[in-house]
Amino acid sequence: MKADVVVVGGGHAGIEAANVAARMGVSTLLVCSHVDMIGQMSCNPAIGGIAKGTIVREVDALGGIMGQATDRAGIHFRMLNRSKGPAVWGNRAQADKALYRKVVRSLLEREAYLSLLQDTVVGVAERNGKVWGVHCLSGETIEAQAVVLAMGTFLNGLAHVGHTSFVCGRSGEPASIGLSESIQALGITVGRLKTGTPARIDGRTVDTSRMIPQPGDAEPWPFSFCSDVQPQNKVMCWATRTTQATHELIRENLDSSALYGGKIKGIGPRYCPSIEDKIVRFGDRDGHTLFLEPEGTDHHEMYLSGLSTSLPLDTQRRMVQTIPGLEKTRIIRPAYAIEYDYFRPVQLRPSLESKVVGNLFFAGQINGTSGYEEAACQGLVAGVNAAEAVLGGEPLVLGRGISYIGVLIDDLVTKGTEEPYRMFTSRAEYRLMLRQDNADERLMAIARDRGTVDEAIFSARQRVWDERDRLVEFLREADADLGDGESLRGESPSARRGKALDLLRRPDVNLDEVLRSAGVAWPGRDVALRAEADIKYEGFVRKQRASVDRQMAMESAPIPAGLDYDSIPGLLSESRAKLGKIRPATIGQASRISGVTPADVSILVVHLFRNDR
Amino acid sequence: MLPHRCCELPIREFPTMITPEDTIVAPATASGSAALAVLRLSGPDAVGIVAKAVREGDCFLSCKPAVVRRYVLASEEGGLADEVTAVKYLAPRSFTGEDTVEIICHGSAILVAALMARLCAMGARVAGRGEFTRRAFLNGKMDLAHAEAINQLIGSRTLAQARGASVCYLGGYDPSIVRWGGEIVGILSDLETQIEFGEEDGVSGALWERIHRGIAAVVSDAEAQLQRYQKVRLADRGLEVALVGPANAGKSTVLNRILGYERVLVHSERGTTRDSVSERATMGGVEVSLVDTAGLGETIDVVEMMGIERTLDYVRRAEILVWVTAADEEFTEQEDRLGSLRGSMDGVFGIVNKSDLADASRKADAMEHLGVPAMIVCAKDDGSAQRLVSFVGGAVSKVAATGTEPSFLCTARQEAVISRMVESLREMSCLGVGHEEIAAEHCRTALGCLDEFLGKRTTDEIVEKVFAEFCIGK
Repeated sequence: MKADVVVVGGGHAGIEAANVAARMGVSTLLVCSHVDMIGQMSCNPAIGGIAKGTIVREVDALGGIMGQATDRAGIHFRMLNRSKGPAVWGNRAQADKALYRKVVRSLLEREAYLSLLQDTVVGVAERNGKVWGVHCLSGETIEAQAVVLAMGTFLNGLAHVGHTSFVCGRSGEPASIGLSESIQALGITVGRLKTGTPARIDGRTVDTSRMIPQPGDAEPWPFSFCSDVQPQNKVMCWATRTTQATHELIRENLDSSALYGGKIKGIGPRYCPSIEDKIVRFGDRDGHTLFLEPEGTDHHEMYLSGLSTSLPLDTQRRMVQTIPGLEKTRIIRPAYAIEYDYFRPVQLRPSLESKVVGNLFFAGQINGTSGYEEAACQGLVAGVNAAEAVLGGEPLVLGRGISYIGVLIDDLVTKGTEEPYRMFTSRAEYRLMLRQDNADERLMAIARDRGTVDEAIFSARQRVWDERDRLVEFLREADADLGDGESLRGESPSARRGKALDLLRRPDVNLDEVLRSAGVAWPGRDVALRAEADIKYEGFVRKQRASVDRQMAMESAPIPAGLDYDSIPGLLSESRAKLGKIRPATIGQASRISGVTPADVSILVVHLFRNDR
Repeated sequence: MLPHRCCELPIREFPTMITPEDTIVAPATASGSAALAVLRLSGPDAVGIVAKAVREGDCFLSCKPAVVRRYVLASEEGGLADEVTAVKYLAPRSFTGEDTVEIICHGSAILVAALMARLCAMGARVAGRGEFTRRAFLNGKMDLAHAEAINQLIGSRTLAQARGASVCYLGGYDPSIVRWGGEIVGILSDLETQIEFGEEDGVSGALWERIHRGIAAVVSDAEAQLQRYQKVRLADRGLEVALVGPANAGKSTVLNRILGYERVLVHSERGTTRDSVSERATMGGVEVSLVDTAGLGETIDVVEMMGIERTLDYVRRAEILVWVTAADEEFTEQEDRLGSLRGSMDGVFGIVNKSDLADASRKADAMEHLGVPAMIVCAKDDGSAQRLVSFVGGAVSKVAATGTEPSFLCTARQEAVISRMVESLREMSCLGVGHEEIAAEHCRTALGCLDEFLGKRTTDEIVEKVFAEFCIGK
């Protein structure tokens, strides 16, 4: 068998990679162990959230499918951080997991150049420093010009429940054995990480009268810029808390936890700790909040968010029953911790291509990230670049100044990661520019040029941007008076009058009231939100743009791939070692490596300048 | 985050000054006559150039690093030669991190120029401003803060400045900087936690209370430092020492005596000095600007009246007033009002002149009437100079010591950076719940300023700015 691009793995990275590669017109084959499991949500049923929601929007603007699939399969939508400024809003949905798989499958099958194959890849075929195919468990070798690896947590996966360990990829599915070793044999080094998932419980045994309802938004916001599906809330989520009894039980049984019994060697995520971790590190507090999230609409299985654990099954049962509303609850699927291999991402170029093996791309959790969204966006970039490798085009490298995706990939390939990497808004130094509302403006033109977004969709978005521009220009000149409105109540009448734009710049001024006073009809919330955010952040954004421009200049100063750092006098020895290991592609990347000082960077510049002459 | 500018331009246009393959030379000591002068070379050919220039070249080549020996070094045409000592330091174990030679010769400006010419003929190039320190910086021998401190130490004109600079150079910063940084990082991480995880735990008004308290503390601390810096800078500009008193009390004579030459025309006629005359001098270890003013007294002459206006200005603002009276004259009305004109008698010192023209009791009366620390003198006498200099010098050092609490801000660049930090933090004071992302932006800007202050993050502009303040050869 033969394909231009082979994508290994049908998770969130694999599906995005396969989707965009096919859209770019190269024959693409998605190989995975179980075709029914394509698009499976291994852990929680939620997509999006703060920072993550912005990534989903970026993936969507670039022609990815996660946003559209979530709009269709979502059953509970909520825009988080609404009480704060629009730069840190994040849309989050709970999805019907089975429906999500179905929707993803149908979206993938729209692509004529995309084929699916059920088989397990066991080896990567390489010749002269370049990949030429993959070997499968069936004995078949598939030839390919470019390969995207996206196997998630399956590589040498080892799950733990108490002192029992078993080899698996995800609960109920086999691990990928042998593939990791095959890749290591190419000269690529691995590390080991750990993550965990809580129990799924039977919703019929839950007493929600003792819990706090968590309703979705009255009018849910869609994730996708490209579809007109209006998301619908179909279920309720619930909040409850752990109790003293829960904490005592955990403390008594710490020895039997895989994590604390010393069985697990991998490093887990600090920001998504197991309940054992929370009790040991943060004590009782006044209890730890838990959320109950339905996993679908045609059954009663619920996800118990916040209670990830590796305690033995019987302890898990008793623990769950110490929680208000869960006294009679039955567990359907036990919680477990899982250890897996990942490839150290500093071995990748910013295009996600391996530095060791040409045309071999790595995406998703195998690069040390955590989360569906983080995986999806890498898959998208790897997919575009695998297709470009076939087509002979320039690789797509998104900068830190244009996208969260750029921040994520730059962090991975420049700094690496020793724990599962999760995106936060604070990782983005240009946060006020990189908002979930304007992802289309930032990225869609790139996607159109690469052929992953249709011209028709692009021009529809353009009309929205134009409308926003007209609104902002109008508000610049229009007079407004807040009069009887709520905004700036305590201030003098003269302070509450002025140009609409100037009023909007002040904190706590309500757009709705200003528009009404200026005699503008409500332009719809998409346009209104963009206009409001653009106006509020205008001053900051101007400064950040200037800084991005400077950064871009540094990014455009390339460092030759074979530069011998040992031959450069004056570098601190620590910096010399780091530069030699990471081999930054540009001066900009070099300047972000931790431990590399400004003096080192200037020495580098001087050295390159000398060689240049 | 270094050199963006070099990358905006084609790289080859970058550092015209940084061409580390050449060898630079410059006198390390001030020009003028002195017992000794030091010439310094740095660069890959430093040792070779000196070996070619001295008579005992082989001996110099074989000499171990850091060993001092005597050589003969002649001017280019050979007409002028000196016996010098030279010592070499080999890379990377030198100040600049490059091969370096220091030559100590006799301190004649003519000789230094001739030897410099000779070294340049052998292949050295005259160093640009601050180039030695720049090379040390680029070779990773010191960070920007150190480089700046060296410049500051060399250039300091007051004890307070020198103290601040030496603290910086020895690697210490005022603990305030560390404290501010810690406070802002703490606030920023609280804000970020609220942004990323606040949705679960709910909004906390207590968080904002803590933020406002923390910010206010840093702002008031930083402002105190900025004020101190202003004072130190004033002292740097030179304390103003104004000589005031009635016409013909002998102010100009006192000035000439202190300066040791006839700066001001002296005449026995009243009102000879019609406008203020100022001159710089070092007194009591401090740079001062000595001002001779027009005499106080009634006048109908327009020019003289304007001069007197100017004098009153000095009475109000000069850090030090030297009140000169004549022992044989009555106090004028304006003299009696000196305290109210100035606002206080702080920094006022008295000189009772013309001691030869009055008897003992008259002199004692005058001293008592002044009511400030005072001396009695006959400025006309040649022997009075020493006493006048030490009296006024004493007054200056007393005022300089009280007026300038040291500030760890040393340069205009540092002042600008800290002012920007304060500005960003002030912006936060009107923010509250719901504006966490904007507050965080201000925190990041403030932290950026601190990084810039410490030289952790530098753009090439900062580097250029720092090195532009260096003199050749430092």
